[in-house]
Amino acid sequence: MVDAARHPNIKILSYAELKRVDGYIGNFKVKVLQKPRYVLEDRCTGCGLCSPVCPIEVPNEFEESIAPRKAIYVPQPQAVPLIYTIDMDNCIECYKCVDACGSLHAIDFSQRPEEIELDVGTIIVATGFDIFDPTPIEEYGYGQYDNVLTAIEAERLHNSAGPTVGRFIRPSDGQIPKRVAFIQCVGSRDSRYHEYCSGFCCMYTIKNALILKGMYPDMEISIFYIDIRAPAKSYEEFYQRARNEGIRFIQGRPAQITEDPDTRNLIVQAEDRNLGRVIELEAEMVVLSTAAVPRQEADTLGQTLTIPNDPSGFYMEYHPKLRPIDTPTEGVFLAGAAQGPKDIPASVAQGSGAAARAGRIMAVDKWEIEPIVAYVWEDRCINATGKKCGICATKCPYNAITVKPGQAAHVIPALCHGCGACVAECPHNAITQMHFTDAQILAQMHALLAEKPEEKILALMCHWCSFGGADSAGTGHFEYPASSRGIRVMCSARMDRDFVFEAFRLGAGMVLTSGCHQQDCHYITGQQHAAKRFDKLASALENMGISPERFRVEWISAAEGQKYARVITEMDQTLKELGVERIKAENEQTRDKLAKRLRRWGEVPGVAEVLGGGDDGSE
Amino acid sequence: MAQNNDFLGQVLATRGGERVMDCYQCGTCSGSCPVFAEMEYGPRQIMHMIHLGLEDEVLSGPDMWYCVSCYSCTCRCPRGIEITDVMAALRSLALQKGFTQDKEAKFSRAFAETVRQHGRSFEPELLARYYARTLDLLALLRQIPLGLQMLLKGKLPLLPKNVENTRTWREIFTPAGGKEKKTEC
Repeated sequence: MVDAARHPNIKILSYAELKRVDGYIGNFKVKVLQKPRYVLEDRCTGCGLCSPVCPIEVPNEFEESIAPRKAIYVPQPQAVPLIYTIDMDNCIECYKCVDACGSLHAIDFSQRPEEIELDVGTIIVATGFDIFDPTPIEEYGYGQYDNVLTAIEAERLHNSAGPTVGRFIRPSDGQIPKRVAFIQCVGSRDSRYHEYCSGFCCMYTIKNALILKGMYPDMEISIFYIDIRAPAKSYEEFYQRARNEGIRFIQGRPAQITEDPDTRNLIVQAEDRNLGRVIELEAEMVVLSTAAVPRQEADTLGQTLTIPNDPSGFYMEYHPKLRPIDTPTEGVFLAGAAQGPKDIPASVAQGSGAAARAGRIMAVDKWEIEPIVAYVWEDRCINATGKKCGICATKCPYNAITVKPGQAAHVIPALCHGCGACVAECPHNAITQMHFTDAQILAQMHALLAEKPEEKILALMCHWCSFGGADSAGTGHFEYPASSRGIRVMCSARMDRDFVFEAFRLGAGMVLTSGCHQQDCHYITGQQHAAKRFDKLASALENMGISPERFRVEWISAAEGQKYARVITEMDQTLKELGVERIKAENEQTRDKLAKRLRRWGEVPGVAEVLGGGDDGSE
Repeated sequence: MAQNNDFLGQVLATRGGERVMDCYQCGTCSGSCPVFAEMEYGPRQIMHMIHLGLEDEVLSGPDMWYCVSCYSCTCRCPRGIEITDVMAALRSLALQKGFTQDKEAKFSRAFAETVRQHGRSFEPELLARYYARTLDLLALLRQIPLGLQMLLKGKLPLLPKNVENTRTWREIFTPAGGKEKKTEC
């Protein structure tokens, strides 16, 4: 940290909040709110003369409220930058600190919040994590029994720079405990609180146990655990060392902790799974290894940065295997526990990775993006005529579209990822996607359904999952009937209602629309838009007189080749059961209704030519 | 080990049994159970045995009959499994499949029949029904001193006292919208 502070290219804005981010990769405009410290950064030397004279004492957040701090303080002794801050919520403005500061004149009560604007090319989000508050788990008695602590509190107690100068004493009487029990997975791996494994608690508990064993060799230490997770390099050896040094590992998640009111000792009741017996272990102190949880403000910050949160609440990476550091917003990267619980080596590795990912953008003048972006025909956009629309902007998962009153919608190509959600949702067909235009997709459809369409299954597939699934059905040699014909688009969100109408108008026997499972969607909310659209589409088709079996929606991942084969086999079966005659009859009846739905489509540049050609071929 | 691979499926299909696959064997349930000492396996092992399809061992065992429905395990289960309901489902499955030889099963049926009759427990009838099933007269004789003591303290009624509106009460035993199932207690 000190090195970072000294680096000529690094500027640290601490005690500041991110307010707004505009722009795109290479050209972000960032608004930051610098909160007033009431201490001038360029004058404060961090000498610390002010703090002792301050008469106010409040709980010290860094010391987990085990120790007090003053109203003028630094969060911790090694803070960077080492500048004092006045906590105005608690300051009584006695100005003793001003006297103590003397001729440095570093204290300035007239400071106001200041908004800073920055031009930056890339952003790295490294906001870390919070710690689960175990109070709701009543059976463990945290907050009720003094001698039940969280791991971070225990950590402060045995730290030689901590409030007890490293004496590991228990809160009720200040005595050093002879028996300490650690409990793993408190709030993590728990469907009532956090489903995920926090990942590093096993290792820090073993570390804490070994430190205590080193300080107090006679201390009896028991660790209650469900599974010990020590997968990284040298971790297993570390775990083995703890076993060799006499730390007891008891497999079984404690059912409850009770307190002996006389001794204030704690009785941990658990099933020792290896004994198959319920044991009661008395300990002077219990330490809860609490879950690492997303930062409280993770949601709002995520919205500011347009990066989504995964179901656990941590920031979602672009791709869990292939782009684990990138976010769905180009030019924004993740480092450390903001992305998910991580220990120090993993956080450092990811931090270095994020710096390198950002560096390769910062090193060049021009950055190439995929050409498959959305494009607005300004003369077709209804918003330009003064009518309010803006549907496209609400469907865009990347905030890549801006809609101003009276102006045509505007796509920022650098932000667009090419999912096509806006294209499919535009009620006036005023947007297209380069390389996936309506005309291009339609031309494919006409070619695929040119002969005996009623015997064919038209499969619309998304690039990332379903197309991969169809591919893996092939490489995996899963057999399926030859009646299917596939069209690839980037995302199920691109699958326009009109594609399905047109397929049936052309006489297709069956239509399949398929994409990623919701949680796998490569375009944040693309699949959700598609799912909603297909729901309504299914009932619209049924109302028109198309048998509901003929339109199917399936979410198929790239690994689900078998599922793809099964879906096509089932659809082929249904197709045969319905019979060509019935399908032809249905098509005959609905053709006009479908054509009516599509009547304005011909206005879209390029579409009329294809539509015209198709009609000649099929009729 | 006699395995019935369908047993897991049958438990999954019961009300409360839907999530038994979520169990990761942490032991919170067994540690919480006030009657664990009486049980042969305890809820954690029962879950594992369900996974393995050990139908005979689970259904002929006494554990689910010992469950006192205190719901400690269900409240504390970090996997959200409704263990108390699983125990009830196992009792129901045991009766359906004819695992009725167990004395706990016999006692439970005797108790249920008594309650169905009167809307509350009536100890002399309960004992009569129970020992009629077990035919264990020696055990019945051993109950006499306790019975006498209870009688002297006025804790043992000689005549049954039905709850008011017995008909409504009996309807509780009829599953909603259907006929009374013979196997359920």
